Amino acid sequence: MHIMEGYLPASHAVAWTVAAAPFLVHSAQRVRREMERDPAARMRLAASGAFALLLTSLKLPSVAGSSSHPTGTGLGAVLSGPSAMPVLAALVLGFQAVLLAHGGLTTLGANIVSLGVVGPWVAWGTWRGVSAMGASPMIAVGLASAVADLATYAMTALQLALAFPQAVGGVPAALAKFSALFGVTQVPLALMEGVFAALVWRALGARRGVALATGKP
Amino acid sequence: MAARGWREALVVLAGGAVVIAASQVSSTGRTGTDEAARDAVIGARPDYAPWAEPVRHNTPQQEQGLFVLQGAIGVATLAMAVWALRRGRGSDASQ
Repeated sequence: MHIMEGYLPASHAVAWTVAAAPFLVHSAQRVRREMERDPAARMRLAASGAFALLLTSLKLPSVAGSSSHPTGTGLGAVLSGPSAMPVLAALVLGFQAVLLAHGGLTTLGANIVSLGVVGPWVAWGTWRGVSAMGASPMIAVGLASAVADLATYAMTALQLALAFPQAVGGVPAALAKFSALFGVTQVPLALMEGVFAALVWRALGARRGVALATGKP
Repeated sequence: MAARGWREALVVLAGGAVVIAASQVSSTGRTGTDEAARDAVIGARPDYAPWAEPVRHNTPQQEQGLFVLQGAIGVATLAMAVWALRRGRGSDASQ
């Protein structure tokens, strides 16, 4: 999920930063408005950000001697709405870029788009869709979180493929290569993330689920 | 209901601490996907030179400590939010 510092060409880094900017601005406005309107929203936002902070700190073992990070933004997308997530993702990614040398400041825009925009919106859509089919809230949250995890890494694969197309096969071949690289490791982790998210959802006391969610994107 | 909030918060705190500790132990010696992606970029474009450097260069021990710190902040905040949300709902229910 973290594209490392300097590992996107400058033009791509600038383009992804420009792409992330409106989402960040809208997210900041949304967060401020929600916190003024509803005191409970502060705690939902705290839970959303804390879960992302916790899960992105984990390096979990996966198949074939590999390890990777879960993303943690799917639960937050359901709790606080996907449009709240870019700011929370930026805080987490900024912490890691500055202190941990994971990700980077030049790749922050690209990483915000994958972790803070694509993952949360996919989670939101999955949660709404699965809930509409009558699944229990825990199942819906678990599935939404797992799918968001995979979507985040799929977006990272696309970003890298656009930046580094294969000499033969171009962007599609590069996308297949990066997707395979992430996919092998990430599928088991996405399932784990789904379980973690469902357990935290339960701990938050959401017996009927939707009572905790804002109901708005 | 307030007592129930404490119980759930402590479960989150304990569970989070176990997961953080387990992740630190179990990931040792494994190749991370971030590094694998970097290596794939280098493999595809040997002439590519990163044009920026990380702000910090941590030793493996420092990196491990900072990841633990990040996880600890996350799990403590999450436990607090669990407690506050459950307590808040308990207060609402009692009114």
